Amino acid sequence: MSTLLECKNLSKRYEKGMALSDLNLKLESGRIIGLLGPNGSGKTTLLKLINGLLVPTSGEVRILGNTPGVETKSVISYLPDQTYLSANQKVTQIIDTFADFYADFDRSRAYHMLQKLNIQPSERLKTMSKGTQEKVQLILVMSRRAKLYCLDEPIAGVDPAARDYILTTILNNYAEDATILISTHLIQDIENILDEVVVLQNGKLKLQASVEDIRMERGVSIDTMFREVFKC
Amino acid sequence: MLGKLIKREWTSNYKGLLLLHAGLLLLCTIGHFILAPYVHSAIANSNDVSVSSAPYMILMTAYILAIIAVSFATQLIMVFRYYRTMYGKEGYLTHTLPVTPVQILFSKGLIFFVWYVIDFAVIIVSACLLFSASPFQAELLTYVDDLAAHMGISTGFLYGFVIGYMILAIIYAISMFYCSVNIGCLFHTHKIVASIVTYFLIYIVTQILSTIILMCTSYLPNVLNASNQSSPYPPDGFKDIFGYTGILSVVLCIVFITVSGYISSRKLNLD
Repeated sequence: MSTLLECKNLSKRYEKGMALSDLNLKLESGRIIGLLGPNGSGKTTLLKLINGLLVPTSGEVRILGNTPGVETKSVISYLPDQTYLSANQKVTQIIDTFADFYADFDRSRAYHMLQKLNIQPSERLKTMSKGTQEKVQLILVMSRRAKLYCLDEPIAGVDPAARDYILTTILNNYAEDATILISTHLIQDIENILDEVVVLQNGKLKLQASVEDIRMERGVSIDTMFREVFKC
Repeated sequence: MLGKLIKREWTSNYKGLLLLHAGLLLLCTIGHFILAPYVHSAIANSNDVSVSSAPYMILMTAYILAIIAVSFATQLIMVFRYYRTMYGKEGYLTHTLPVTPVQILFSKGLIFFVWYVIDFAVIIVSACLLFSASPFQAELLTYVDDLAAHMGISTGFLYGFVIGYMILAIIYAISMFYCSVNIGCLFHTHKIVASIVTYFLIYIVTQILSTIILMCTSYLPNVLNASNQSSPYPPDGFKDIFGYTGILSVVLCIVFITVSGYISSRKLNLD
């Protein structure tokens, strides 16, 4: 396993305060990593910094040795925490866009997943429910053969039945040398697929450990540990 | 990748804009049959505008307003699309595509430019339809020949100069629009209002700069003197002022584009 992502003294300040503060973090390839933390802990900010959607206040983030740019964007597949595709477009048109720009996009995989979830490719996004739109976005993101998948709340808006399919999809659709970084509050739903967790609190790294170590050392599940640590 | 970006930019809203311009051309064609006889008659008898021509005048006003509205709508659609795809939710896709910020700006600017040219072309066609076969058309062409001779240049050069100046004016307008949006979106809230305010501030500053240039050249005194004369040609210094404002426009275009490139690559914050 090699270092896929590295944050060095990474900080991001918003008007209201620090979202990330002096974060040092290394992620290796071939892992499924849960990015956990309470609201406002800096999870979404970190994912945006990795994807070049925010400029760091100080420090740096490197993906395979490169700062966010053309090279990193061609190997990172990012799912934001909101619907971000043009609602007027048909699913087929969006697939064409992805296939045009991302060399690692697998069109047949996308159509196969759409069929499995009973989503009509000829439909426009605006005619779909919010949950279905989120499924479409996840399908597009997981249809890439990326090195790093950044998924921000991928299962928050979908029904429990679809969650199982989505998690199976995530498991079945990533290469062994790829890493998946999943930010979520629904820890119980995903902890069975995680190799490692990164826990943020107030923009700082609270914990980075393998799931197995946490279970062995603390004798509790990740969900229980999270509830104990962040008990209000 | 640039070609793909240009294709994506064009296909995103060409249908609506083509429909809008096709509608305007249809209106112009209808206007040609209804209004052209009136225009010809009004030009031929400039002192004889009867009361019965009032409906024609209303139609003519509506016709001109329609042309302005389509042109304004095109600009509004393109600027709003820029905002939406750069700083709105769609910005998440735009800025995660494996392309450079310069490529994104260029593709958007190019398609905006194409729509500006289409706009100009439609306006010129509509004017031609209105004035076709009227004595005014022949008079205008003769005037252009005389003006070129008066300025000591060939007619072809004058046409080339006007087209070149129009291209510069379009690039200037687009780069100013984009620069205003980019600066406006540096604000954390009320980004659209901030963009509009920025646009007007830039406009005021550039107008002040242009006025200073006018004051520094011989053009303004010549204009004041010429107001007492009945010459059909622009006063002396006309060429100079185009030269000075042309240079100013090029410099400002470079500034606007540099600022836009800097903000979209170094100051991007999709919060």
